[in-house]
Amino acid sequence: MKRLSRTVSAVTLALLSAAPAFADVELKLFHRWPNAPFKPYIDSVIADFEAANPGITVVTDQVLNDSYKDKIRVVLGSSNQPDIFFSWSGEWAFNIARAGRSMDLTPVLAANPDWAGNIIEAQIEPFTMDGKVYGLPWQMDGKAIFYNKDSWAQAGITEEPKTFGELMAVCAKLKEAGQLPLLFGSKAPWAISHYIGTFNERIIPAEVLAADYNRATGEFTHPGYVTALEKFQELSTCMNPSPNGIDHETERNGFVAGRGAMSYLQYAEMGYLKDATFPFGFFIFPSIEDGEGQPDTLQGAPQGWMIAEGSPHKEEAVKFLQFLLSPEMGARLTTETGIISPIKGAVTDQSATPEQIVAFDQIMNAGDPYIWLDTALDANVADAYMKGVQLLLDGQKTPADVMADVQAAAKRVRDGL
Amino acid sequence: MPARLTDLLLYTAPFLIVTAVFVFYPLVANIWYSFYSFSAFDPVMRPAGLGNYQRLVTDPAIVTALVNVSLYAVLSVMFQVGLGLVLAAILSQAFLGFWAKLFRTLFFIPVVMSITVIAFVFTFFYDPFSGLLNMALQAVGLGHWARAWLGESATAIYAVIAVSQWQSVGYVMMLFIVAIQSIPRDLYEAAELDGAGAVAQFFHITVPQVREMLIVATVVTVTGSITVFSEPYIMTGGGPGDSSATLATYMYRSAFFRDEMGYAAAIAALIFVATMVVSLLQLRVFGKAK
Repeated sequence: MKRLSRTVSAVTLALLSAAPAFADVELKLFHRWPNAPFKPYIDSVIADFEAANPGITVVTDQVLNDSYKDKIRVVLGSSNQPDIFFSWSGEWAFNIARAGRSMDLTPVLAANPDWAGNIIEAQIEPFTMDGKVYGLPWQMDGKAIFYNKDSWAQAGITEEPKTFGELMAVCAKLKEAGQLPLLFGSKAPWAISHYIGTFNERIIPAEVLAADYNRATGEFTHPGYVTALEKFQELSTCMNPSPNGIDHETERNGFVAGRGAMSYLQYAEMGYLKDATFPFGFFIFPSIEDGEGQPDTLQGAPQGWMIAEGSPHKEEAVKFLQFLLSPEMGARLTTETGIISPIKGAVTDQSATPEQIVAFDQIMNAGDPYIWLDTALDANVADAYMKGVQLLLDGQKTPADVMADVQAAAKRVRDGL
Repeated sequence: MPARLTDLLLYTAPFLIVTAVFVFYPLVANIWYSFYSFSAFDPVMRPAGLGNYQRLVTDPAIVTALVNVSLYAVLSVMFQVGLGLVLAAILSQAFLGFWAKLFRTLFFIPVVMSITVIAFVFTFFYDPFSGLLNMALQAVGLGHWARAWLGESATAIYAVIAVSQWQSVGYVMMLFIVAIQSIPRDLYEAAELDGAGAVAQFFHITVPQVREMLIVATVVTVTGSITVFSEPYIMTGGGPGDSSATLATYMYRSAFFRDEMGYAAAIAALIFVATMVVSLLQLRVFGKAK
């Protein structure tokens, strides 16, 4: 009996001594970068965080862009949801917030004013719905036409175009010089939305866009939408044939390899351009003659992180975001990945290249960013737009046909079906 | 009798429970969901009545998807079942010896490969800039045929279907080889004595003798075509537009891209009905022929 009680005591002691291991917190982080240079950066930040916070481990899961959009919807509806997850801003984020799946971070920002003050305020706005902040920005981004300076010099082009007409003239000169003026890959439909979003900004009055991009009021009946698609069709004459056959990565790789003179890229992609053997420049999409919209806005929006409302480890998740969005990590982000950090003081001539500093200034001077069309619109409307434009590029639909589909999708969304 | 009934229930209970939980419950639940409007991550389900089904019958993408799966089925029966049977008959000839074994292996290799890997490999094969197909066409002077095979509405679905045939013909061929091996040799010997050639033997002995396998292969191929997902999803995502969409890819896109789980459930119900009707029709047609 005595021996039995000794054994029980020993087992109990062993279990108790093991208890702290069970008390350890495991944070699940889900993001969309299984590739370099982003994954190594995130992994190294996690290693530093774990070293500074014993007892907290961070486990990551990651899938590429398009798969992420599908998978995050499934996991957020399951009992196996991540504690922290990547999020685009705008309607894409609001859709998750409306379903009650993301944590309201407003009290966290209010309780930590020093840390919150480090984040550029304008970049938080696209994560804000009804006065509440549901996500925090991790990267600032925008879209610009990148060009190969050698190709331009060879074609005798000396000035960046200020208007759409001038851009078409640049295109004509490049064609005359035997070059492919503009690379485009629309196999992954989101790439289309960046062009169409830009044309809409330039051609359609801002107040009309604001009403139409709202899922409750969107009608898309302004004639400028058809004009925007016609202008896009005109620009497509500068592009490689059958853009639907190649994806955006192939487009970018083609630009780096010198296969085309221009490509419409994100600032966040600058890190990939380091392999280019030619000097490159970039400019914001030019204004469009007779456009009733805004001549110099920047298509693009911050991307960042959300904490799941159902997370049992919100405190630790906030701690991790505070670490990830600190000035030190912001500077490292810019240096190691080429992404422009939204943390004040992170983009300096020590941490960033001259091109990144120019991009940073362009974003800061652009005022309110125009969110990527595919994440600004309800998914139904965005889908109708992107699929329609794929068929427009394939000669199967006219601009009017595409807008009829978009209007039907917008009506369905308004009606709540 | 009661004891026998208890035994019967006990022995069949595992099967009944598993079938009820994993087959009938999801089926019933899916039909139930199709009368609601909701997203994958939103717990709120709003009643939609027959709205999802009304949309189903007016949605042009559904028509495109039905045409595409019909194309898939017809071409798959032609190439997988038809060509598979011809290949099986040829590779069952004893005089081919080593070569028969070699070609059986070669035709069967794609079957054991992951369809995801195959779809990715063929995406590169069809690449308009550096794909092997366009380069081969240019090399033989047919450069004017080169195109973005997966990026044009006119060719995308056929390019995807071709990959499925390449992958699956070996599987159906092996099924037929097994069936052919069980045909008594006397029949062929008697036919030879009567002066029947190889083609006559094929149509008058091989085809009737593998009839049961023909039914199975056709039913499996046709129902597989109605539910095909991986190849079009990986290679084209259903695009350009919906030109290469199948019912399954369109259902997936509705559920996980457009957040329309209710509508996706209605499409799933359509897939279930289509599969069941086609299977019953085939079994009835073949049954009558018997």
